[in-house]
Amino acid sequence: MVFVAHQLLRFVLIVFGIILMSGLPTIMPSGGSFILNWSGYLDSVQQVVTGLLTPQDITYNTEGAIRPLMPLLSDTVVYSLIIVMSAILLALFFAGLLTFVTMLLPRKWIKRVKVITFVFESLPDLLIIIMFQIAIVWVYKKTGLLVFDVASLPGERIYMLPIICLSILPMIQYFKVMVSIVEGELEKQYVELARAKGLIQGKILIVHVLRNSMASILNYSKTIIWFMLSNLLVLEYIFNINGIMNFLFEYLSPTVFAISLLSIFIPIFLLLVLGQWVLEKTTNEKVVM
Amino acid sequence: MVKRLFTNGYFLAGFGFIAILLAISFLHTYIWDNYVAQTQILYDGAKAVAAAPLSPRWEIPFGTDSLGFHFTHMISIGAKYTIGIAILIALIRLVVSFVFGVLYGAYLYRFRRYVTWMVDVFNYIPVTILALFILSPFLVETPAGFAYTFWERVGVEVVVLAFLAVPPVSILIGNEMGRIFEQEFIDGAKIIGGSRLHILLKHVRPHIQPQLWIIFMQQLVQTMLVLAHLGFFKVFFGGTNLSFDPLWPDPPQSLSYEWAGLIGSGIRNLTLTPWVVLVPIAFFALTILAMNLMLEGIKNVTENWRVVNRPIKVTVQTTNPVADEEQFVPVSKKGTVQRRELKLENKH
Repeated sequence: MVFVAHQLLRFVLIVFGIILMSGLPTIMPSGGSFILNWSGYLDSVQQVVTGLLTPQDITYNTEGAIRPLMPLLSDTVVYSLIIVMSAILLALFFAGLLTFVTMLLPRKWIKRVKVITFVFESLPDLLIIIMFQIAIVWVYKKTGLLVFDVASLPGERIYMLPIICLSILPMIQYFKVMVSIVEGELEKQYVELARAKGLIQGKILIVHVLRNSMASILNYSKTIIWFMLSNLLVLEYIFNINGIMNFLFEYLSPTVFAISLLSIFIPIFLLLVLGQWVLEKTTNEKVVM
Repeated sequence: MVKRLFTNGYFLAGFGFIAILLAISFLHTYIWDNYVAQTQILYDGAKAVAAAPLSPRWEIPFGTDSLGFHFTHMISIGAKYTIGIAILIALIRLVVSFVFGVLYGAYLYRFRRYVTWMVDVFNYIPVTILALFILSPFLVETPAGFAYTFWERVGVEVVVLAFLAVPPVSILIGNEMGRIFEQEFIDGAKIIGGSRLHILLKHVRPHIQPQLWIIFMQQLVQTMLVLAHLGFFKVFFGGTNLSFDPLWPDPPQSLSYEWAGLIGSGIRNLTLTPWVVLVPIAFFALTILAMNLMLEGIKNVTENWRVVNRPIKVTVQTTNPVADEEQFVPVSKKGTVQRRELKLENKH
């Protein structure tokens, strides 16, 4: 019960925060003065609240034509969410696999792997996404072989490339975190006991360490998702994907900002809370969010 | 601590890169007077072989942009603006967050769960989107022109970019502070009669200071990333000069050779002339890597702050010609390790 109440409070606070943020552009001084425009801010927050209460009436302005937002938005949100979720799953899977393989390596090699991870982790998302696109176009020019569709046209949707592209950096980050979590876990006494009983390293990792490090990994997921959302913006812009971020970027009005962010925040929040609930029920680990 | 930092390989490598970059950049402005070479057409003898944008080649290491200006020079001039602005923003973030963090850590730490939830919204909204959302109406030129001067726009942008990160960073510092305030030695200091200010300065400061360095470097990296993103979306530092000429619209221009602006100007022809975009982004990447190296160095140094755990191998001579008093080392076998603390005690 306390759990539900706490999560509800968290949820309400975040929604409240998003609404307060969506008014921020109007608070900026304008017309040469340096006075914050508080009345304009309150007006636009009020406008956002009324807009959110009657979502079927929200419209957006596209080069003079005014169109209703609602049926279009759910479509774009679903598309973006599919990309984000698949990318996370892909990243988690490969990071897990890599961690497993790394932990079986001798200690000297683990150190080298860590240095390589460090360098890759420092690469900006812009560089990776742009390199990806250039590489694919280059391969196409040289061989005539189009590995993936590099840009989406209205009406058709691409999945493979954005998912792979979006999963690279989270994979590296997950990998780095997983290695450090697993290393910490391996020093604990239950691992020693398992070793003493004659279990092989692989089994210890998959059966025992995995279960005990789930909570920390979930904890870190929030940061990674936050990071992915800003990658998503760049990705959708470069590949011309009609996803939620592109939409947001094109129609930067307070109401559209609030409703787009809410529509992408709510599913992610629900998933994280679900994960937290399941983990706290099934394991003894405590998830701090 | 500073002395230790400069013997740390990671820190030195990162610091060296940035220092050299900045030095060249300042020399370029004050000695070479912001000279930027321009090659619009490349001749082979009397025959024109290529026109700008020229791809990277031996004489022009990083190629040129569409107007023929050499990237080598533009990057060199722009370095000090980009890095300087990032440092300024990170510094403001740190100082302002420190004030709020101390207040929160000292007085509101009991309610940390609820305070953390209140700023949790920042963990779901990427800074880039927020910055674009707030700044683009302010910084993109309208047909009527800008309402503010260049430096006013720069000032407002710095303040906005800095304050966007203040709530989460304050919480970070405050939580760290509160954690230290709950340690037992603080209770000891209180019992002896230390005032709050005394405890803050004498007992909390030594623990929080290295953390502040780390947070500063992390914010610096974050700021660089946001600047690169803003440039990519053509929201340049100090405002985007759009050309409203209906016949020959120039590409959006950055007002200096600031790197983020260089990214944005070339984004349209990404696959045709990739180096125009890749060169500035690569320099962003290198600088961020250098900053991360510095961060790693600081982390290494602060983690081994009090005790150097590195064991020292003691070489034991096989022959012992003179019975010297100094050779009484409490070691019997070859390869046995001895901790440094022990050794320090022996030294007089």
